[in-house]
This record gives sequence, structure tokens and C-alpha cells, in this order.
Amino acid sequence: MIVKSSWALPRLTRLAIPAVLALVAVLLPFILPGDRWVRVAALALIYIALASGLNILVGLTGLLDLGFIAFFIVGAYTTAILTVQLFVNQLGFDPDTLWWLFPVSLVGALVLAGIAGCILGYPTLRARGDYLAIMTLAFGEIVRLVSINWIGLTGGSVGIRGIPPFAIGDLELTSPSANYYVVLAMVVVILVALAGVVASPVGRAWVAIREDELVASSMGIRTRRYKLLAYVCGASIAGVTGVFFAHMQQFINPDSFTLEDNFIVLSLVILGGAGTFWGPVVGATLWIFFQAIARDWTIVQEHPEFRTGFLALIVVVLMIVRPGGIVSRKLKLTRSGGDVERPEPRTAPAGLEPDPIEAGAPVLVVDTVGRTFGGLTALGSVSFEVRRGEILGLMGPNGAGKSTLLNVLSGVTKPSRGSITFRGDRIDGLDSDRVSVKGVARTFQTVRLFWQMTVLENLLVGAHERLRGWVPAFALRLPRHRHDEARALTEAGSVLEFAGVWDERTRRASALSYDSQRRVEIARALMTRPKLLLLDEPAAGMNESETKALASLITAIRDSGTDVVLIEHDMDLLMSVSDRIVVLDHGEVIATGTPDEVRRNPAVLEAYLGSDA
Amino acid sequence: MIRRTTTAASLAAVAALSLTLAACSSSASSDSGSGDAEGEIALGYTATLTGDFASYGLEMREGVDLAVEELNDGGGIDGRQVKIVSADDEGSPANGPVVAQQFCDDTAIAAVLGYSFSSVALSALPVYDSCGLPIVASAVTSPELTGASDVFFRDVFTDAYQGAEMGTHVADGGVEKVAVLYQQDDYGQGVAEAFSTAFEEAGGEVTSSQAYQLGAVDFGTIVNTALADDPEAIFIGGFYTEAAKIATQLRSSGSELPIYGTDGAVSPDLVSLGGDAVEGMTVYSAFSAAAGTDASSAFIDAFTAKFDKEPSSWAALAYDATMVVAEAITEAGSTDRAAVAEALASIDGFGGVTGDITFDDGGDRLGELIFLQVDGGEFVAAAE
Repeated sequence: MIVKSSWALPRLTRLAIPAVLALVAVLLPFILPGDRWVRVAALALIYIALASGLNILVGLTGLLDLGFIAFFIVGAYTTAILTVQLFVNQLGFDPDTLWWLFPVSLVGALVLAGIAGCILGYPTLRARGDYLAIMTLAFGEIVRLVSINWIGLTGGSVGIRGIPPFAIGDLELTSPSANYYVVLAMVVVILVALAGVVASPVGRAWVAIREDELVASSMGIRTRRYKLLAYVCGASIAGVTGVFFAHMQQFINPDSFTLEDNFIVLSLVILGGAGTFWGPVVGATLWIFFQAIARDWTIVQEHPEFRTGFLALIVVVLMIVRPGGIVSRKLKLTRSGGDVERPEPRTAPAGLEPDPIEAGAPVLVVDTVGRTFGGLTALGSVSFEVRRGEILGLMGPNGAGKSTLLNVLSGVTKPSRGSITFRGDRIDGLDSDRVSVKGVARTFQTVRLFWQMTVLENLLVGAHERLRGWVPAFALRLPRHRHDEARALTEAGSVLEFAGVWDERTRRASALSYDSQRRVEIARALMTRPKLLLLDEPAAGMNESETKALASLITAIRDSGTDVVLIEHDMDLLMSVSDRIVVLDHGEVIATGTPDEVRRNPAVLEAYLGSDA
Repeated sequence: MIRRTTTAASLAAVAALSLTLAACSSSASSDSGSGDAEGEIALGYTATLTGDFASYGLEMREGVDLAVEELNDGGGIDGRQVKIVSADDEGSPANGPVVAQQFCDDTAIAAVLGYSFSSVALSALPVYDSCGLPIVASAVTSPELTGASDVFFRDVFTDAYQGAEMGTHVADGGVEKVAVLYQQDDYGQGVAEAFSTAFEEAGGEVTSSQAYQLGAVDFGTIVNTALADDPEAIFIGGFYTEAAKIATQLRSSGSELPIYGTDGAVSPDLVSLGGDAVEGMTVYSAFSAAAGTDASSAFIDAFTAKFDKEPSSWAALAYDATMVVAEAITEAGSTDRAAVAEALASIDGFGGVTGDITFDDGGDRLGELIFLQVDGGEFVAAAE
């Protein structure tokens, strides 16, 4: 009950902007001075949809796509070929009676563009930077060249004419206003669905990948799958837009889809604000309208080239003044506002049945694990075990292989030999996202948060595995997911309280103090409900009192039922919290035992203090 | 706080936009006011005026400007001054309907001129159909535009029409067997097909028909194949670069057969590339400074005086289109769009600088091509 009432108000204010924009959009044909401007508005809507689709790739997921128009082409030609080439020319239907075919075209375009997205996305998953850009550019050109040269199917450079206008039954929606409202309906559906997906585990996974792919995968996100999904979603939006465009224009040919259009849509995204929700909307609207308005200026009538020059100048100036784009409003990655009342701190991993493994029994068994990089042996043959209910300290001088070991344990790097068994399952060879799902979480030597997200959003990424679902379900905002998300948010609140950073929950991660960043990173790892937590030098950079507080947090984590492996340079911390300690040197285990035993071990002393031997 | 300011900013942006639009609307309405009843007659002009393909549009605009200047100096149309409302379509079909709607909305506009790209015109036609505004285009040659709309006319010949005219011309010249070579794209294929059909209908025989790639360098094989069937002439449906190379190849293999080309070969570069090999080659064009009619030489003089250069065929065609529209408005006795469209459809043998102009039922131009021959390195009117 409390949850519900605390939502109501922020929900209202959150809906204010979309409501005002929707009202303006609906009234626009009556406000605008002439039908010409209504057509400009309809064109702007097409570009809004395209830019929003590309924003999924470029803005949210951080993947470049210079061939995005290809998906638009696929959609437009799907409906043109289906309606005109097949039903009118081959099967002899009267184009005026084909209005029922429109939804079929929509589904067809959605599927085909989605498949095209897969085809483009798959090989580009491994590529980055320049290679990705060239690959997407090439793909876009392939699709465009096919549309020019497969004359039998696409009509070649002549194109396809006589695509029936929008219609319902006998009612033809050909007037500029009718066209506008049909396309507006499409844009509203796309934006509402997109907002639903963005404020879901899917949207958070995309942004997490953009922010830090390695961390995203350590949170249990199958990063390659989500990158592919971004391509499919972006492509589907462009495909659907293509269908509407074709029926709006009633004619398509390759001139409608030039190489330049790729760059224009990309510019709209960047101009408006990549990675924001309203950026592409604002960018496309302003751009299309100003372009049309500039056409009427006397100077442009006399010297048409001034218009392009002037628009280019505006872009340059705008990019200097507002490098992040016009819109800077942060993306909403969850629709729930979070509880207002201070929660009970987390006691045990919520919702888990009692652990079947007895205290003291081994949970993680590392058996003769080695790792070589080229000729360099980082890990020789390491064997040790982590037992249920303990904090295992891992120490060793610089270069001993501690971080490599942690990377091997968490699936970031694969071991060259040996085996790692976690609670009876082999986890060596698993990707880091699968290791995370098995119940092994980690933090990083230098804090790696998703800096653009709030603290709560960071934690929700940690809950990815139990929130994930089917994209259409998020687009439709099914109540089940909303309920799950609210529960995860409550859990996030109690984990934050447990980690001592509940007060920071709504702040952006980049605005936190160093100590809080460390604690949030631990809290985020705890949100994956790990059975084993790997902490990589959590006290690095902390002062004495912060370190002390951290020590009690680590102990509390163990006491609440999560086993801990702790790498630490701070000997006081390590000795005080560890139940047992493993000492590494030159990639080999040189000692194992309680802190006292290790402290007295001559091999350890030699490794640390050096020996005259 | 941040939320407030962004809301305010977006509202401000929306308000600013509406204000700008309102300003536009007031200027637009004053435009249409000036064009009312006894005021100015406005003609819409749209083409690709910026970017890589701006030259056609800019050249057409020069022809239009000259025509408007002459009309206004002569007292306008029915005593009303003529003015041009220009819009850049950027070569983008997406802009076609927007520009068309702009012209439709402006009640002062009686007809539309221009168009650089067939695809832009095709996307605009549904809008023109809805408001009945007639168009006389000057540079779009797609066969798709034939009969595409009741209000669409063009005074540029289609490739198919020109190819067919050439076929008849060659047959009329007494040639009975022709070998056809054409460039492998819609242009080359279009003219070659039309040429062959017309030539065969006139009783001739096409001994062989071979395609070559744009940019090809070695034509030895296809020239030999073409000559193998003892043709009496060679027809090349393609651009000047390849045409010059084919001619060179032909002459160096010892053949003295007459060569026929298309408007794609009409360029000073044909001579500079082909040299002696293209001497005597026959080509066609819709307009040529060399044609030498009174109307055309007066136009050329006026154009050269105004712009200090020779008019291109696009300028000449656009000049004619403007004059044809003026004639149609005079005939119709009003700027009523339907009346103007009707008057355009019934234009018969209007004497333009590019020859006589008549539109067929599909809005395409009927008329005579100008045949040119390379003589002493210059294009001159071919001897009939």
C-alpha cells in the first residue's frame, strides 16, 4: 500500500511532459498555418521515429550504425512489393480495396527488418570502433544497391509507384491532416513502447553495455545477445517506419534512401541528444521544421545554397555550445520511484531456501589452475578452496597473479589449464555473465560503476537475471513486470541500507564520494544475490576509519550468508577479517592457513620482505 | 529543479517554433494576397538547387528567369506581372509532397515549373492531383511519368521517344542494317530498345545488339562482333566517353561505317576524346545553339546577353516551359488551375526555342528532335 501511494505523485509529474507534447501534437494541424506545414510535420514524425530507432543503437547501447537507413528501405520495399508487385500486379487486386493488407505489411516489415538487424548485428558483435562503422556502412550500401539493381522485384531506379494511401475500408486517408494523424499514431506507439523497454531490464542492460561492457557481463547480462537485440529493435522500428513512409508517399524509389540520409538521421540523434529519450524527438522536429522554414527566406529564394550552409552553421555552433545535444534530461531507466521510507537492512539473500551446504564444507574448489599470456606465466598451478561461511583472504606481492586469479574465477579470462568447481558445477570456461548467474559476483580493483545511472539503477542492473523477460512484454508494460521491478527496488533499498549508502540512492553514481562508490559497487554485486563475492582491493584509497567500517561490512556480508574472497593490500584489514588466507607469489600458492599461521610462515616473509638467501 | 527548467525550455522551444511558423503564415498569406485577381501571377519553380546535382536546376532557373523577364517587359500575362516562387527539393523524394503542398496551398500559383529528378516529381504527383495544379517539367525523362497524372506535362522528350525518332531518322536516311551497341543501364537500355523497335518498324534490320559497361575501356571484341554481320551503320546508345572510344576502335579496325549516337554523346568532350574518329557522327538533341532557327538564335542572344554564357538545353527547355504556361494562361483567360491544365493539354504546335511543342495524352511532348553532325570538330545541324 505504501508503495502505491508513494508512486502516485512522481508519476503525475513524470507524465506532464509527454502529456503536453501529445496535446501539442494532436492540435498541431489546427495550429499550423497551412497544409504544407502539416506535411512537414508528418515528415518530421517519420524522422522522429527513425532517429528514436537509431538512438537505441547509438545513444543507448553505444553501437555505431552508419547504415541504419537499410532497415527503413527493407520496410518500405516490403509493403511496396507485397501490395503493388504481388497483390496488384500479380494477383490483380484493385489497389483501393487493399487497405486490409496494411497490417500484414506491418508485421512483414517488422519481421524482415528484424531479421536484417540480426544479419547485420551478428558479425558486427565482435567488431568495435572503425571496423564496426565500416561494416554497418557496407551493409547499408548492400541493401541500397540491391534495391537499385534487383529490377524485377524493386523496379530498379524507377521505383514502385501506385502504393495505395492509408485507408480504412472505403475511407481514404489522403488529406495532409489524415496522413499526419496516422503517422502520429505510429510515433506515439513507438515512443510509448520504447519508453517501456528503456525503463526495463532491457534498457538498463543496453545502457550498462554502453557504460562498461565488462561490468555489464559480470552482472549476468549476456552482452552479445543484448547488442543483437538492440540491432533488432532499432531495425524493427525503422522497418515499421518504412511501411508508413511508403504509404504516405505512395511512391518509393532508391532516391528516397541515399547514403546521405544515414548521416542525417545520425546527426539528428546527436544534435538532439544521444542516449536521451526526447533528444531524437527534439532534434528531428527542429531540424525538419527549420529546414522547411528556411526555404521561405528571401535570401534562400535567391541563393538556395545559403540554406544548407546556414543549417550546417547552426549545427556546428550548437555542437560547440551544447556538445551533449539539445536535450540533457537523463533517461529514465526504471519507472518505479523507489520507497520513501527507510527500509530494513538486508539480512540474508532474500527469497532463497536455506543453503544445503554445511558450514566449513568447500564451495569453490580451484584445482591446479594455470594461465599463461603468450610466454608469460601469470598463474602456474594454483589450487585452493573456499569453504562455506568463511572470508578467504588472498594476498601476495604485486605481480603475484591475484588479479589474474580473480579474473579467471569470475570468467573474465579463461584458465589455460586446471578446473574450477563451484558448488558441484564446473565454472571454468563459462563466460563471466554465466559465472555471475551461477552465484559468483565481483567488484573491481578500480571502482567501475555505471556512472551515468543513479545508484538505484546501478543496483537494478544487478537484479537483471531475475527481472529479465521478453521485449514485447516490457513494451506493453505488463503489470507482472512492474510488480517484479517494484519488489527488486525494495530489495535494492534494503541492500543499500545494509551497505550504508541508502541516503545516496537517487544520486547519480558519478556524483558519489569515493567511499560511497566502493560501497555502491559492493551493494550492486550483492544485488545479484551471490553465494560467493569476490572483492578486489575494496579498501584501496580509503582512509583508516573508512577501512574499519568496510571491515565490518565485509564481516556482515559473510554473516548474512555470502562467502567472500578478499584481495587486499591493506594487511590490517586482511588479517582482521579473513578466516583463512591464501598467499600467492609468482603465480603459485606459497602458503595457506589462518592469519596467524600465515603471518609466521617463512616463505611468506621471504616473499614480502625479500631474503638474503 | 532540473526537471522544471527542461520543461520550461521545451515549452519555450515549442512556443518559439509556433511563433516562427505564425510569422511564415502571415508572409505566405500576404503572398497569396498579392497574387489575387488583378495582381501578380505566381508560378512555382522547384528543382534540386543544392548539392551534387544542382546544375540542372540552376540552369533551368536561368531559362525561367529569362522568360519571366521577357514576359514582364512585354506587359506580363494579360497585363499581370509574373513572379516565381522557388523551392529547393534537395533531390529528395521525401520533400516532393511537401513542396507540392506548398504550391497547392498558395492560391496565387497557377502552374509549376522545374523538376530535376523523376522520383521527386513522382512522389509529388498525388498531391498535385488533389489540388489540380498543373506542372510543366523540363528535365525529367522517366517512362513512369507518362500518363501518371492528368495535370503533369513535360517539354523534355523521353528517352524512348528520342530513341524511336532516331530509329526512324536512320531508316529514312536509307540505312537498312544497323548494329546496336548500348550502355548497360536504364538510359542505354531504354534508348536502344526504342531505337531498335522503331528502326525495325520502318523496315530496317538490327544485325546485332550488344551491351557494354559504363566505364569500359576495351571495345575490340564487341566492335568485331558488330562488324561481323556486315551492317550499314552503327548505333551507340550511351554517353560520350564510351562512344568516342567505340568510334576510335571502329575506325582503327578499318571500318568507315556511319556512326549514330544519342543526346548522351552531345558534349565537346566527344570530339576531344574521339578526334577524327567521330567526324561525321550523327547525334540528336532537344536543343542546340547550332540549330539555327530564328526563335532559337533570338533566345541564344538574349540569354548570352543576360548570363554571359551559352544556354544549355535545360535552360532552353525551361524557358519554353515558362512560355508554354504563359500561353496556356492567356488561352484559359484566367489563372484557374483546371482551366490552365485544360489549356496546356490542348496546346498545339506552340513555337518554342526548342522547336514546336505539343503534348500527347500522357503529358509527354510531341515534336521534332534536332539532329546534329560532327563537322570539323563542331556540332552542326545535320543535313537532311
